[in-house]
Amino acid sequence: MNNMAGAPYGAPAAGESPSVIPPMATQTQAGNSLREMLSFSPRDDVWKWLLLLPSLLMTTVLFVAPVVWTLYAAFTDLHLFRVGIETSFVGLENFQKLLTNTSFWRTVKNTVVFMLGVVPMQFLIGMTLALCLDNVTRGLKLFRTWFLMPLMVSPVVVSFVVGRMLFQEDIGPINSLIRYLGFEGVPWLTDPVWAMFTIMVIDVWQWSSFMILMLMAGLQGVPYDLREAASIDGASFWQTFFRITLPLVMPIAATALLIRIIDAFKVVDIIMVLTGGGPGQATESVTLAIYRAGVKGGDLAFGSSQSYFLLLVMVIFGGAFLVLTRRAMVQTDD
Amino acid sequence: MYGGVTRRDFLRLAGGAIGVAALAACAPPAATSGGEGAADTEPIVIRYAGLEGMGATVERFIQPWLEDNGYGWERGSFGQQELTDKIMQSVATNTYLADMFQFPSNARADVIAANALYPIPDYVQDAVNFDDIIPSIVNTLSWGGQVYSLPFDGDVHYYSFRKDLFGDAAVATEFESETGHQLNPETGAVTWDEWRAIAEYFTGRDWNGNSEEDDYGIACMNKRGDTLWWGFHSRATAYAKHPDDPSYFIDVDTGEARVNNPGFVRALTEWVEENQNWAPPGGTGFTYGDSLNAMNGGRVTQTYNWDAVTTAVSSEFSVIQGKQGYNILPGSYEVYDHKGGGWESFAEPSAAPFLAFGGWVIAVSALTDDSVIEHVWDMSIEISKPESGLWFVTNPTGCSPYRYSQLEAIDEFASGTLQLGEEVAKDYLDAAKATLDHPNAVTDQAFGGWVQYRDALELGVSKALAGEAEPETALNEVAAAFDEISDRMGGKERQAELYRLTLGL
Repeated sequence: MNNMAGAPYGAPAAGESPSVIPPMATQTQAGNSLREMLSFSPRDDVWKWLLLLPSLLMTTVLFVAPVVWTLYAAFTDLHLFRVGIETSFVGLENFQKLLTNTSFWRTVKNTVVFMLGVVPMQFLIGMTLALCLDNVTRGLKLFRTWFLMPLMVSPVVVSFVVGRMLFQEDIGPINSLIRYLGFEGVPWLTDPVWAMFTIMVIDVWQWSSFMILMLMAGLQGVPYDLREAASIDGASFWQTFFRITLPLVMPIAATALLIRIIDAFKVVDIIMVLTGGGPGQATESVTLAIYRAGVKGGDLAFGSSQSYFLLLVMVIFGGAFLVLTRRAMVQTDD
Repeated sequence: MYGGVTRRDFLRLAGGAIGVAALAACAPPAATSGGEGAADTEPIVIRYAGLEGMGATVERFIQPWLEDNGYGWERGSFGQQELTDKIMQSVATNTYLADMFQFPSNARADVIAANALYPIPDYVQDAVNFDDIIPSIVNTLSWGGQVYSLPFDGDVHYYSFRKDLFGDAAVATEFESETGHQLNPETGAVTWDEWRAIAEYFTGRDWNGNSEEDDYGIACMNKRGDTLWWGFHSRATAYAKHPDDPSYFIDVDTGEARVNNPGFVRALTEWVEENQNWAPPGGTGFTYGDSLNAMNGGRVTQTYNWDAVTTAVSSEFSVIQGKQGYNILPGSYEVYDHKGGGWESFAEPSAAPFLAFGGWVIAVSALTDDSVIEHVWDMSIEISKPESGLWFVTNPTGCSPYRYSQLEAIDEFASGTLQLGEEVAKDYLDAAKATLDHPNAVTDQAFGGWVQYRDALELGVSKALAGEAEPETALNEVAAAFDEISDRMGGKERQAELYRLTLGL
């Protein structure tokens, strides 16, 4: 209903015949009675809580309880497969074992190397392609859909098809091509350095699309006249990019980077399918180590302590990243 | 919408409606008309959990029987490692998974000790003719003298080789002049030294006739997280399992880890060299399937596996039908004597075939409802009785022989669905009998926490294969990890006691 400015809701608008509208008093009475039925001010809070209750219950059951339980488990010797022996409190023993465990530190190093390898590369590819697509006027929808496709494929499928088949060392098409060109085949999955590189390539292939889409959305928010004015004033492409485009895209870029940093810290699917953490321990991530200890091995106590350590590392990296980004944005504003 | 209802009012109404709907959904179902009559027509449903491939085979096999008896059927399907994880989690949390499930026999300590299974009643054992089952398989079905599961698959590792190439006179002559060993087309390599000589000789030649000197000697399962545990132990038992000493993984008396003694170190040192030099590219990270594909695709001359026999004849990619030979795993003239602290020489090769995980077994969950249990036992008899067992092992199901009667059934293997041919069938069944009945056969690790021991060993061996650690250093790490796992699982003495139980001591 087109309500007139200034007219009370439900009142006849100017030019309307009062005869086609129910008598105002009657309508107001109906509204009031319904409102009285539903709106006792002391019950307002009750209604709010009732409406919030499902969310609160879900959050408590699915988030708070597991987090608290995991914390409890980290201070015990809880083990799923140890039958007939009571679980007892062991204090900081699991964390002590964690800090002195060279295998665990190797997984931390692998995870950090992986994150530092893939996230900047995805950002660079994403920004480059987003800038290119920003100037595309025809077929933009096609490009967007095209770049969305890798995101829609399961990482397990990507790892198997792209990883295990394309990078197969003996008869895989990539090595066959390399040998056809007269070079030695590359040990993509059996050499520690190459295996990490292969995993990074697959992750970059799949997740650069996410950066492209996020940064394209950010670039659309940059007023064209600003860039045009800079160009008229004689600014080069790079000057325009660093002084205008990048600062204005930074809030969305920071969000996208943070999401990818957190995701990269939790990587497990690609590695599990492609290398199983090998060769040796060259590609084992912290999350894979947690899965092995806690889920497969049944050592819930040690797995829980590893989980909390990973959470701490992620909070530190994520927090530091946000602080640095905010500082950079403030400096740009100044 | 009329003017008296605000957005807030609407939300309240919606909230109220959702609440009523939720309460209605939680209410018990109303009795259907006909009540008892309707319940009477409900079929009894038997629930089964197993591997995707094998489960589908069981389903195909049992369907007519289910229909004849009017039973309903539900099947849960899982990947190999996922199934073990699901079972272990359901056991540990006392949660119902299925009435009957398939599980790897080396998880028996974890599953049975948690009272997760019904013992097999005597009448079921009689009905499936337990006396016909090979004792080493009976051991994998039992715990403390009580039978808890039924046989389904007698999985062990067999040595597999290219009989056609080994029988070529020109190749045999050249091989002997180059290596000093003889190629025997009937037995293949009978020692690991011969295996190595064959592997080296056949690498870098064009024996498969594709005009490229790119063929190799061996392919082994050695990918971490896949089947490395079995690949390595099948290679190590001949050096590390002394015929007079029952211990292998840990000491049966003290529970101390043995996996870093010189027998294991020699096995790993040689295995690393072989896989790095005489296997196809990527051969230090082969899955179980990769090693089979390399053999069946004609890329290598030797391997050891569970399913080399059936896949060589049934795989559409196989180019070696009728060309393959089988035998017990190679042995060694020298065996490390852990108790004596030195190597002992033997006049004849000492073999110690690895009963690599002992096979999949089926068991009945202790959480099965009383109203169903009799029917579940009936079904277990139907699956495990001798006639059914013969069908499973003579069809491309992934199941291997486990009964004496199956080892005699040469015709069924030679001319049945598998079409092995008489010579291959005889080789295969002889190899199975020699392995399953061998006095020095090594029972797979089945004391509590086997998944953790497996992960620890796979990490160390994988490091050595990748050149990240020397074999001895890697195995010292594994031994330390074994001891730590034993301590966490209740102590070395407790683990030693469980180990003795798994060996029937």
